[in-house]
Amino acid sequence: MKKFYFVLLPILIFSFFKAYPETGREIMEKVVNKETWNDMTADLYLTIVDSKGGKREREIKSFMKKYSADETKMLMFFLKPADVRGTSFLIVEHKDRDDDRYLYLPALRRVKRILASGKGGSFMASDFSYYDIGKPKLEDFKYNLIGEEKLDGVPCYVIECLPVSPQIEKDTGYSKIVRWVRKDNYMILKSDYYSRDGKKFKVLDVEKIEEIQNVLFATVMTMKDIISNRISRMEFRNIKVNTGLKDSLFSETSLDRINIE
Amino acid sequence: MRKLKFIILLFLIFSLNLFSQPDISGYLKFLSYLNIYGENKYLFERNGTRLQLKLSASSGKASFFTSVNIDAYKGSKEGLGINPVEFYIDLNLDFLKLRVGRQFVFWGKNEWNSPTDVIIPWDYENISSEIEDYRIPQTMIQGTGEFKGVRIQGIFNPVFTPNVISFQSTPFLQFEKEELPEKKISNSEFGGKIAFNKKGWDISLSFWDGFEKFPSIYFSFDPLQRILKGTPKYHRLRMLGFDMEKTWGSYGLKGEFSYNRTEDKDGKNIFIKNPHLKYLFGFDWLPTEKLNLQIQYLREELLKLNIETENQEWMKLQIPPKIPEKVTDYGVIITRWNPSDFVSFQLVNVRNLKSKDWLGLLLGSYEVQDALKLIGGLVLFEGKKGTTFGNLKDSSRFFLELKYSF
Repeated sequence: MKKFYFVLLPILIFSFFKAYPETGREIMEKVVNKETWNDMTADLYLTIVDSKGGKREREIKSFMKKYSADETKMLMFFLKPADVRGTSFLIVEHKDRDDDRYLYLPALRRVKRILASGKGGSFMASDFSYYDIGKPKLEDFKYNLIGEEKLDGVPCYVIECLPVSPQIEKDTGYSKIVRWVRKDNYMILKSDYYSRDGKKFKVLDVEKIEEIQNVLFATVMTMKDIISNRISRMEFRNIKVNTGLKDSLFSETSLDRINIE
Repeated sequence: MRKLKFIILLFLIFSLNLFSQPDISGYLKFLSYLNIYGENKYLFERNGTRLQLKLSASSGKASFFTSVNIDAYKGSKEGLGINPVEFYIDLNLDFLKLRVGRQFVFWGKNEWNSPTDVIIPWDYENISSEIEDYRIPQTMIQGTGEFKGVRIQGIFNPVFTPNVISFQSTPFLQFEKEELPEKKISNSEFGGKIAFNKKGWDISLSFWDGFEKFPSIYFSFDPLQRILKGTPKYHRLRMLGFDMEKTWGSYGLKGEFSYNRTEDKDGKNIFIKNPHLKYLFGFDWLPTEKLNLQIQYLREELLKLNIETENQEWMKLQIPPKIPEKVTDYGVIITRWNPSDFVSFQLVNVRNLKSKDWLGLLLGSYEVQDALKLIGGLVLFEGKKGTTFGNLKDSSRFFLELKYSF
């Protein structure tokens, strides 16, 4: 009989944990911490289409390097449109203080340290904000698992993300984000964004996910502003990971380099 | 100038052979600059077209860049001209970046009134929307290395160039031809800077051994012509500088300080500017993502100024004394406003708080479509004759540009 209990107990414990659903926080931890790259290089193509069909295109070469879970350096060189060609942007994320942001403006031939108006500012006049393109900080939001749904036949968790403080709400510009997270690989497939007055105003759709060197990337996504009826499409190409980018690249000295290869 | 153009041509031919896949970019713009004050002979300061061509390429760790303006103007600045802007070669090693050629190097944290911005001269007669019009690039060697987060920069400029300012003679004062330092190695300029980040503060310490960009005017009385003569001459200047900057979310603070040791070490030469201190405090605020406000206070303080001795020296020359102010205070306000993604405005006001003369720049820009911009602006110099900005009143103008970048 004792033997029977020894066999049954682990099975019961395992079944209990297996049946117990993950919390919203646990799911989002997996979303944020699943990445296994140390550095990344990519070409970013951004197309903005306004309600009248007018199209504007941006092209960026980006480099990223992780120093710890909360410390990343990101360097971007703007290639298109032609009037911003040569502009470059360095963001140094810190664990315990605000990001340092440096912008090189070829028109001024100067590197300027720039202020952050919060992360809700528009990225290159698109519908993506700096918060949307950056790595989310887990502590900024609290997470509720509000359901499970199939999205285009794919089982997803539905997570409600609420800012932990009025300051985070002000910084991000969001009073709520609802995210659809794939159950099998913890990739976000869709997000609904709610403005500070509580109205849904933006919808993110991830159109393509690619596996590059064993790392999953959302390589094509569109952000639709449902109030202005404007769409921004972001596409990553030529993604390379863990190529051993040097620390010296992520410095102010690199910002006015003529050609980055 | 012909020699310079020839060197650039050789440089381009050499570079194109050395480097592969050159990248060509630039802009074409149509512009109209309207003089504001009626004393000007011309209604339009310039009216015309500029084609700027930029050529860059790289090969391994080396790269080159060159930009040339082809200007065709009518008005007081008339004619067709090919004006080189920059041309340099970069060598990017892991720990050192070397840049050799005609280039810009700006020190300090501020665009308009930086106490440590002593390398690149200004063209005060040509303030416009393009920095290459009102700052004059220099042919220099620049080396920058980075070691454990500390950036060390060294600069060597073999030939000094002064600021461009107008010397307007009057019936009582006649300006003679300016006397520039002889072109020899001992008259070169050089300096260095160490920059690092400490607890979020960007800090730098700098040193420059060069020449004053503004001239010392040597006055003499010509008894035969019964006229006062002024000869602009340039003297050596050594600058020790310090600047720091930090941001907290949408707020920023910056401070800059420089000690400038002129050739008038003991303050007894009435023509050469006394040794002086310059310090600046600035506050930056981004109340919304569409609006940026900057307020700066700059003070210049002359050291070793003895008014009694100065008076006596002027009396000996039988010339009415021209005693400088011991302290000069400037206030600077910069506002940038982006009411929409494709419209932006900028307002800059630099004001001498005592003599009340000021410079105002209002700039508006509308992005008609990708790479096509309509730019309108107003540059205004106001103040009494004899004051810094008052003397530049005739350079005030309104301008309109249509610029296509490619």
